[in-house]
Amino acid sequence: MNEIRRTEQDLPAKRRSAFSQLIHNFNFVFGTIILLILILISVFAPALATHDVNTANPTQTFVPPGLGRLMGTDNFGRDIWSRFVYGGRISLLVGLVAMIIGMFFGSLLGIIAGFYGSWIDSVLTWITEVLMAFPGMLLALSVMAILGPGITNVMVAVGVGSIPSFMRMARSSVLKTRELDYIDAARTIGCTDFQILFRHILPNILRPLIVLATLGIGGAILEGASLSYLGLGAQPMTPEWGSMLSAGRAFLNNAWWVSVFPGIGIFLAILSINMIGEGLGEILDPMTR
Amino acid sequence: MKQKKILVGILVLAAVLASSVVAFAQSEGASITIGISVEPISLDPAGGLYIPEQFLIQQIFDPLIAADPELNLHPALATSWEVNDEGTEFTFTLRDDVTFHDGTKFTAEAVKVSFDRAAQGTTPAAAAPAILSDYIETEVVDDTTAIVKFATPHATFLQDLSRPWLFISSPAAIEEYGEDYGQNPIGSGPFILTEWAAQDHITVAKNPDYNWGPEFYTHTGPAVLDEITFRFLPEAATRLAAFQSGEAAIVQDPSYLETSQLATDPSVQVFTFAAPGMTSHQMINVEKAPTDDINVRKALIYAVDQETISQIAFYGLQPAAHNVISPTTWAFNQEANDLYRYDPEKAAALLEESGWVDSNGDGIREKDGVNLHIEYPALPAYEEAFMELLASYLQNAGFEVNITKLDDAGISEFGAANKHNILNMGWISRDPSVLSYVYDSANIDGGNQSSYTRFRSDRLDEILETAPQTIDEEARKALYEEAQAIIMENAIALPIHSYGSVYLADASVAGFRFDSEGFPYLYEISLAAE
Repeated sequence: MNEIRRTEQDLPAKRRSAFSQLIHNFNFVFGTIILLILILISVFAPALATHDVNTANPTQTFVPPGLGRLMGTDNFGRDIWSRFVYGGRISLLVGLVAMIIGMFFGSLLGIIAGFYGSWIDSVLTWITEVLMAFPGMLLALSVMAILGPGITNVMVAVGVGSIPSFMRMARSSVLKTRELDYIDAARTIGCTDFQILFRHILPNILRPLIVLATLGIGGAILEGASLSYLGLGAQPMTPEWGSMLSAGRAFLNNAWWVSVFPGIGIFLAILSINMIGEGLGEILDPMTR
Repeated sequence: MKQKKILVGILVLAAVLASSVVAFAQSEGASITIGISVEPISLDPAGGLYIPEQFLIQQIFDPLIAADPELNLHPALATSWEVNDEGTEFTFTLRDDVTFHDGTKFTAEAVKVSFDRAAQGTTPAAAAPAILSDYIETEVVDDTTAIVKFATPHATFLQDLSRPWLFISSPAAIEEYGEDYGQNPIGSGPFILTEWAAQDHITVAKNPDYNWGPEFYTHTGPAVLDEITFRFLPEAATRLAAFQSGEAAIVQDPSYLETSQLATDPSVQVFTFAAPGMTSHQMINVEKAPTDDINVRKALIYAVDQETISQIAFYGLQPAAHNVISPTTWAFNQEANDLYRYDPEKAAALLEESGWVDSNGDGIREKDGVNLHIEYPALPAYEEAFMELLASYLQNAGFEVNITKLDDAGISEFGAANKHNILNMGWISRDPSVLSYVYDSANIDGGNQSSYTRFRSDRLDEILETAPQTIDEEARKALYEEAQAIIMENAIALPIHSYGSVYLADASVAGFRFDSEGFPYLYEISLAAE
């Protein structure tokens, strides 16, 4: 009788766990550190702020950065450091919420399109292709034109703008996955479409979506800041990096610090998130592994 | 042979001379660029309203009567005029040597067509219909005589004639362009519109036939400059940059911080002008809580330090205001002006008297669980410089302020929906009669719908409706003084600043002088040889 022998392979030992790979990935680690600092700053904004964000101080306008005023003051004598730490909350939140909106609706549409195919797929693909034809910023501007200005609307606008890319990614992943044997198996044992979609397909297509979302947060923060820079996002009195940058541009000749610090905030946020995204991509995405 | 040489010599000489003449003419043929902040919407006098429209209409069109900087009236297209005793009929004798830019001759018919149109207004926001209220008709007696008739006395009509909305258009052009006349304006003024590139610039060229300027101009004949380009540069910093790079020789309202620093530079000329008319003030809505309470309204006014706002937001280039009309306006009421001065304690006392107390320590006062909330729609073009500072003062007094940045149309919509507590208003005018445009309660729901205070007072309405018809100067003055008192005593206006026109001009710009409303006479400007 032939025995089926299990050949010992020490594959698991050769391939390190995903976590172990992550903490050895420079991009991921460095990005995470910067982002963590930004998040901590935002979370502890009330403790870190040295002044009220909106109290004008007519006797202390354009104070350069120094000991009492870490980042100086603006044209109304408001403390930029305090506005910076509060501003981070909004900018980061815009990125996160926008991506959640984009990922949720984009993936949902993509899964449905990819799984059901036929005319549903055609219609949804047409729609996303039309949306893809617009640059993201233009799409976001159009949505803002309909919804009106405001920070919540910025989140929606940027989120809606990112739906097409998630939809495409999800759809193509589903197309690959749905032909696999275990899906046939699931169907054979009588799983409903819902079960197949969300218990069998979704977990297997999540990785590329997560990478896309991480990279997208950076873009979303930038888009949110751009909309605020244009005066469509955060309304006056709300500290937000994009609008702070915009407000300071009139004084660049005289007081660089009014614009430069919020600019650095945007820069660091996007840099860190993109580095994390790159890192995740290198490890999670099978194509780049 | 010798003769031939001489001939050649003469020809060469002639060529040299001719070319030098041409070169001379080119240096004469000066053109300048002016950086302005807002692109006009329509240059149709009957449709125009805002400052950029007024500025350009004055270059392209002529009035019947022109006002000099001291507001004395001088003949322009009309050589003389007579008013009947009631102040209802105005008879004008017109020049017969004037042609419009399209070649049409100026006659009484043009006056009739222009005024008939202005009385209707060609845009919803047009200012002319309010000036020409109760207009009956313009009677064309002959080519050089026109009689303008009103149903009611019009005390300010002669002064009004010198304002851009009543300038005279070519009837042929109105007919030719119809709805598009606002983009193809044809007048008889010193400059002709040659190009309008939307969102970029408007170019006007000298009208070579112009020889009918009013006598107070510093020269006669055509304008000195051959061409003027008005570049639309919405950002103050961009206008300043355009000026510093030499791209624009004159800029309107540059960024104030740099201007205050440039004022000491000998190669830069800074011109400032405190405009008469309504100040830039917040109209306070009496129909929306919490500003339906007079104590809250008074507290709003006491809570704001206009002197500091003028210094911080405008580097002193726009003077602080304490009244609904500016001190340079005729019939300015000093007592109304002295009613309120920055007094945070008084503001706090008034709010407490009405039951607004900060009981939960969040810095915002509340009553019956409702925050002391102010809705503030703002138009960044005019309010960017001070809106957050204003809000900061209100917050210090315990108000919660929500600013919504909107455009012109958005502001009107917001105000018409009665969603605002405060809303910015201002109107440059040499006469306080502009008050009726926004303080006559007939304009709350009807009229121009710009009475954003929604304040109804029979006495105020009566004053604003009768004063423009009061021929007696002293009586008229008393009426407007009372109107200011009513407005300020009822605390329906929170004054911020008077409008100061600020212009930066290159050292080579000569002949810069302001008219009575703070617009430069471009006709008189020349470029000194450098």
